[in-house]
Amino acid sequence: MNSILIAPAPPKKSSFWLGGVIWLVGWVAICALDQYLDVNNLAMLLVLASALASVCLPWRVSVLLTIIFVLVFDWFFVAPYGTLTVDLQQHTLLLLVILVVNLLVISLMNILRAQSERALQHASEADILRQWSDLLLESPEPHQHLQELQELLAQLSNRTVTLLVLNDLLPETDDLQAAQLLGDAGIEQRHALWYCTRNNQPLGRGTGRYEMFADVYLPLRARGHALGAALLNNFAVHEFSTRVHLQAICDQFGNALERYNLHQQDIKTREEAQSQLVRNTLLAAISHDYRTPLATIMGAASSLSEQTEKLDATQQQQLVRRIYDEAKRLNTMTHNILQLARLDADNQLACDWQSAEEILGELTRRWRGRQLGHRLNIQLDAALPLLWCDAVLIGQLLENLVDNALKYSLADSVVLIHATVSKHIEPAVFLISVIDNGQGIDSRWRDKIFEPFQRGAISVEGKPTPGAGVGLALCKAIAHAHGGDIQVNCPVNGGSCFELYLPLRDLPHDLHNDEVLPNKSGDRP
Amino acid sequence: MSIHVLLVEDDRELRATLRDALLLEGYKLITAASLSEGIAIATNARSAGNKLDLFLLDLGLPDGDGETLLAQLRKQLNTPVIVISAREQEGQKIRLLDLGADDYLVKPFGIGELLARMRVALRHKGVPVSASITQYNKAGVVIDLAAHSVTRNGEQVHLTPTEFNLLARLVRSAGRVVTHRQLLNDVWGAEFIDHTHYLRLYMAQLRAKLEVDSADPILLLTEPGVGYRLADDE
Repeated sequence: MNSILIAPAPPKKSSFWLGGVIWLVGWVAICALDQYLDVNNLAMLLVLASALASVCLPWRVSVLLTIIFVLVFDWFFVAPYGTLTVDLQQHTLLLLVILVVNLLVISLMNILRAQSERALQHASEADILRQWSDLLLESPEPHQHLQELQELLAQLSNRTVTLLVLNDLLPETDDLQAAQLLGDAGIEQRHALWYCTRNNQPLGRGTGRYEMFADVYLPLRARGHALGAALLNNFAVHEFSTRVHLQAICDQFGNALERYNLHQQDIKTREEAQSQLVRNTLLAAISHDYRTPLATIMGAASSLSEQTEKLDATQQQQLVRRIYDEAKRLNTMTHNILQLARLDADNQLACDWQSAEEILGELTRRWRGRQLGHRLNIQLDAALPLLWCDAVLIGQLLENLVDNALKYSLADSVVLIHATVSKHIEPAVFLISVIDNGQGIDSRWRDKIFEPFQRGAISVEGKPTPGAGVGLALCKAIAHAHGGDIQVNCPVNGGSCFELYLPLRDLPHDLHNDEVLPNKSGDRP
Repeated sequence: MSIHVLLVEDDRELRATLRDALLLEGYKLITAASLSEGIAIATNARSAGNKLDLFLLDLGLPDGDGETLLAQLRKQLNTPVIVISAREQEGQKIRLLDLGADDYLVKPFGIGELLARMRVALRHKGVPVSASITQYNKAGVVIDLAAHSVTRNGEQVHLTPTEFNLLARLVRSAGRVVTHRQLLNDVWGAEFIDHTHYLRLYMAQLRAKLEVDSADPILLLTEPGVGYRLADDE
């Protein structure tokens, strides 16, 4: 991660010894070939040596050496020997040409070298920018890299750097609560940082604005506005390319911040849209599912009020019964939806130590009240542990499962409810199964039935089965809120088996345990 | 002598329905549609010497909460109060019971259930919790607190002291809900009101000794999230 802070490539050092060797070899060759070649050809060697040496030597040294060596050549190799005077006019021309060509080569070489150095510098800057941008792109949160931005700018400018980064939007006043300040800054420097952020323009020495400042301030720019600013203490950006490079690093960070902020906003909007969608689905489904029982109630009630004399006692009784049943259905549906909304909203459970025996006993009692008690067969293993749960919600969950089981199985068939501790799973869990021998659930539907407002058999069998379509979704929400889960299996021999898993918890140990523990031997009543 | 019932309920339809049903059962019904009206009627009746025998109190009233009336009533009277409300959260029920309501019914409810709760409340009328109810008899179980004896189908049932205390506490409020808090406080002591698991364990033991099927009790009934109720005796 810190690899971003690579050292810029060191400028190429001039190699004096190589230059010296070239000149030496050149002079040795000139001396050695003196007897075989005339002065014109020897001069070519001088040109060659000068050109080669200028590759290795700084230009000032090259120029100096060239002038000296042309004079030396004149002294030793051009007649009259031992003087700087030249007899033949053609030799004067030769020496002048050599001098001019050599100086030309040196200056060209110098330009070339400067260009190549600049290219290297650009490549290194581009490399830093690329790595920096990769790092920011990969990182989910740009704020994590504030320190690296600070170090990078410090390294490139060789000065201490202070950063001001907005947490969110630009505040009305220069409030440090709304931003992070990384590094030291005096009061005036802070003002300048805020000013730079607000105006989205660089300030300070070399920027053309507020030249009297001792420091340089660069904005962390995003599209059209700045999300912070960087302070380079005691710095000046005289070189345009340096400023561009430093600004590019700041801008990349600004853009990353902007991207991050937009992403956060996007997530928020999406969540809002999602919850809106859920609410709309809920409303649509409620209005749909409420209309059916309401229609029945209104129909039955209006016949009772308008056609009383035409109906015999049995028919009237039937209508009344229907009103009562449908009203109860509406009540259950309302209850389920409210509980689901409540669980969605705060997930607050009223947990306490509960006994499965009591929860299931209460369940039987309620179904007996509806004349359906005989269709429930409750089997409890001996010595079941207490459950840490919200009894009302678990009761509701089981009631929904039983309601479902009765609805989707044959009239007068029995629904089995079995409570046990399952040790097949590690750690052991409390397992309550609700088993019916109805038509089972088509495998296509098994995952969907736990989503709100899905209803099994309706399209598979072509025969609508009444239900709120929210019951099983509530079951799942309740199971999950308890850290448990709910599953449905359909055995091959028909029917379906809903299994509720709840985690087991150790009973609290306290000093008074002995006092309250069952004393089966029985003291006198 | 007919029984006077004050019904405080703001919903016109429900008020009319309840009035019809209760008149049919022979109760004398006075209705109020708001908290202030309810308080006024209760105060007038008291100063005029007309005794009200039972309050049916809705909670969400246009000019305030029924809880206010309940708290005021309890300062002066021990007339039975049955709360009828659409609020079904257990915390709410427990608070009302602890505030001194005799019972509660969550809307919607059946008339049959309301009448049964009213009968129980009237039977306990004006009787503080530590009353002299010492006898209980239902489904073959006979309890005589004074004699410290519990029999089931004529046979002595052996109970530990804690089991007996718990049962006795329920017998004294037979037919009414007793909250977990009240039970733990009265049987174990104030410092044990969070030890719900004691209650669960002892209740299971009591059921094992007194019920035919402890998973399907007919005497020791559970009020989920609220407390227990010993079925009203015969």
